[in-house]
Amino acid sequence: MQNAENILFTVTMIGYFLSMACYFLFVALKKNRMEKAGEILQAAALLLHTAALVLRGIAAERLPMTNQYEFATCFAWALAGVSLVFIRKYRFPVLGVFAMPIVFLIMGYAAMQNRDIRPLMPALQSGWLAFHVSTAIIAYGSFGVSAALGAIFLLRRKVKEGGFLDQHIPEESKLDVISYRSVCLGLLFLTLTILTGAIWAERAWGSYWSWDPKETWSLVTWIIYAVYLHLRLRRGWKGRAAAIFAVAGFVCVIFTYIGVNTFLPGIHSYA
Amino acid sequence: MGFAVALLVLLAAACALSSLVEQGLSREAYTARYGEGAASLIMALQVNDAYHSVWFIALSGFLCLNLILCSVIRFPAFLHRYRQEKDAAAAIRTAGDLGETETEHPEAVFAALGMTPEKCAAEDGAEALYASRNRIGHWGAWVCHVGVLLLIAGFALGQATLRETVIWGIPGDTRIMPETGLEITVEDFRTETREDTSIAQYVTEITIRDPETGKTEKKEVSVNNPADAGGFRLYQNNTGTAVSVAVIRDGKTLQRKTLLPQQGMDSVMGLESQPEYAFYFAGIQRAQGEDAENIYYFDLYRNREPERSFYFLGEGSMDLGEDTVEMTPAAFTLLVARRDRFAPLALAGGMITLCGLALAFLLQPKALWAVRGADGKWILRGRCRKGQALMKEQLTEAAEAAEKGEHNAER
Ligand code: HEM
Repeated sequence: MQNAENILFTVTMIGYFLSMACYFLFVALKKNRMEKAGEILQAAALLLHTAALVLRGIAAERLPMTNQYEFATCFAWALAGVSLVFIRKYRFPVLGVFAMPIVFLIMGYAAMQNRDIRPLMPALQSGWLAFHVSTAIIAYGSFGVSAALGAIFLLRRKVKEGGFLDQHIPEESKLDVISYRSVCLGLLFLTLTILTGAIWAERAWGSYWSWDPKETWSLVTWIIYAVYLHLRLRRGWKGRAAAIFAVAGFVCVIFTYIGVNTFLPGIHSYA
Repeated sequence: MGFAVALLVLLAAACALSSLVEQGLSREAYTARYGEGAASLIMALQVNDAYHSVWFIALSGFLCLNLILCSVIRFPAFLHRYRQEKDAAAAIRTAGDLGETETEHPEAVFAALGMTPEKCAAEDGAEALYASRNRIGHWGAWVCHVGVLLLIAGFALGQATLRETVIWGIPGDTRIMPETGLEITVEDFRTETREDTSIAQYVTEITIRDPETGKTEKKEVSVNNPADAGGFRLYQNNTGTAVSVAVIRDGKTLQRKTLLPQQGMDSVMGLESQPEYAFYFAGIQRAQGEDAENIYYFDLYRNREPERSFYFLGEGSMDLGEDTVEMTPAAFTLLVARRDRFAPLALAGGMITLCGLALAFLLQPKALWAVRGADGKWILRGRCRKGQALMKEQLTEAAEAAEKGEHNAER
C-alpha cells in the first residue's frame, strides 16, 4: 500500500509541476489554451493527491494529518483545492501562477520528510485531532489565498493597461472583495480550529486554554483578522490598505505555523 | 469602535509580547536570562505572569464593557437594518450601491442571481420588482459579539472559581479527594506499549467510594479519556516511580505508605510503632548500562537527627528493632482533578461566536430591485454592503445574458 502511495505522490508532484508550467506558459505566451491545460492538470493532480491521502489513511487507520509529512502534504492539497475553486469560480487563472509554485514547494518540503507511518503518542490519540488539524489547514490555505490576492492587488498597478495580463487579472475592486471573502473563510475556520483545539486540550491536558505559545499566537492571529474586519467595515479600509493588511496577516499565520515551533517551545512542539 | 480596535490591537500586542517571555519564572531566573534591568521591569509590569496581571485583566474587562455597550446600543440599528431589508417600498426609493443597469427582462436577471422578486409599486405608481436575500446575515456581527462576551465571561469566571488538586498513588493506595470527600482507590495502573516499545496508553483503574452513601463506582482514566467524579474531572496526567514502604512485625503489616522522591511530606514516613524513627526518600538514580536497575536512596532519621543513609537496588528490606521494613518500587499514576463550572459557558460562547461569524460571512445580505421607466425599459438597482464589486459584475453579466437569450429566442 505504501508503495502505491509513493507512486501516486510522485505522479501528483509531476502533475502539479506540469500544471505550474502551463500557467507560466499561459502568461508568457499569452495562449488561453495553456490556461485550460493548467486547470485540467491541476484538477487531475488533485484527484491523484486525494487518492494518495486516502490510501495513507487506510494504511494508518486514521486521518493522515499527524506528522510533518502528513501535515505538509495536506496543506499542499488544500491550497491546490482552494486555489482551483477560486480560479474557476472567479475565472482568475493568473492566481494559478502564484498558487502552484507554493503548492509545488510545499510538496517538495513534504517529500523531504520521513514518510513512515508511525503510531501516535497517547495525547494525540483523539478524534478531535483530525478535526483540529483539517480546519487549521483550510484556515491557513484561505489566509494564504487572501495574501496572494493582496499581493496581486498591490502589483496590479504595474501591469500595462489593456495588455494581456490586464485582461486576465480581475479589476482592483473585485480582487479586493475576493481577498476579503478569503479572509472571512480563513477566520471562520481559524475559529473552528481554536474551538476544536480547546475541546481536545480539555480532554488531553485537563485545561482547555493554557496560554501555550501556539495557542497564544493563534489568538493573536485571530484578533489581527478581527481588526481587519472592523477597519474594513467601519473605517472603509479597502483596496490598498486591506491588501497590505492581508499580506501582513499572513506573516503572522506563518509565524504561528512554523515560527512558534522553532522559537517558542511549548506543549505543542510535536505538531 | 475606534476604542474597540485600539483595545483589540493592545490585547494582541500584549499576548504576542508575553509569549516571548517565558512565564512563571523567578526573579533570579529572569536576571540570569535578561539581566538585572530587564528582570526588574518584568517583575514590575507583572510580565512573569502576564495573563493574570492587573493590566491584562483590565484590558479584557474594558473589552467586555465595550462589547456590552456596543451590543446594547447598536441593537436597534441591527434590528432596523434587518427590518429595512423587508421594506420594498423604502428600498426602491433609494439609489442603492450597485449603480444602474438597464434591462428589458428583469425576471431573467433576478433568476440568474437566484432571487425571486415580488411585485410592488414605486411612488409615482410605476411598476417595480423587489427581492432580498440573506437578511438573517445582518445579525452575524451582533451574534458574534455576544458570543465573544460569553466566551470571555466563561473563561474569567472559570479561572476565578477553578478548583484543582492532584491524586497520585500506586495500586492499592486510597486518597480522599478534597471538597468532595470521595475516596479514590487506585486499583490498577499500567503503561501499555506497542510492539515497537513506543507507549500506546497510560491507563489507571480507580474505584470511587462515597463514604456517606457507601456507594462505589469503578472507572478507567487514560490520556484523552478523563472520568467524572463529584463534579470534578479526573485526568491522566503523569507517571513515575514511587516506593511502597511497609512496616512488618510478626508477619503482620503494621503500616504502609507510598513515598515519592524529594516531594516534601510525600517523601517522609514516620514509624508509628517506633515514633523516634522516620524515613526520607532522597532520590532515584538510574544505574549505568542496559536493563540496569534503579538505585533508590533513603535517609533514616532518629529523633529528627539524620542517623544514616542507605540505598538499594530492586527491592530493599531492613531490620529496625523488632520491625522489618520492606521497600518495593512501583510505578505511580498521577491524576489531576479539576473542576471548572464555567467551562460550558465558555464553550457555548465559542459556539455562538462561530455561528455569528458563519452568519456574517456565509450569508451576506443583498437586495435587488427594478423599476419600470416611462420608455418601458427597467432600471435595476441594488445593494450589497460587503460584496459590491462581485454583485455588480454578476448583475452586468446576468443583464447581458438576458439580452442575448432574448436575441436567440427572436432568431
Ligand atoms: C470591544 C470589542 C468590539 C466592539 C466594540 C466591536 C464593534 C463592532 C461594530 C460596531 C461592528 C459593526 C457592525 C455593523 O455595523 O455591521 C462590528 C463588526 C464585526 N465584529 Fe466587532 N467589535 C468588537 C470585537 C469583536 C471581536 C473580538 C470579534 C471577533 C472576531 C468581532 C467580530 C466582528 C465581525 C465578524 C463583524 C462583522 C464584520 C463583517 O461582517 O465584515 N468583533 N464590530
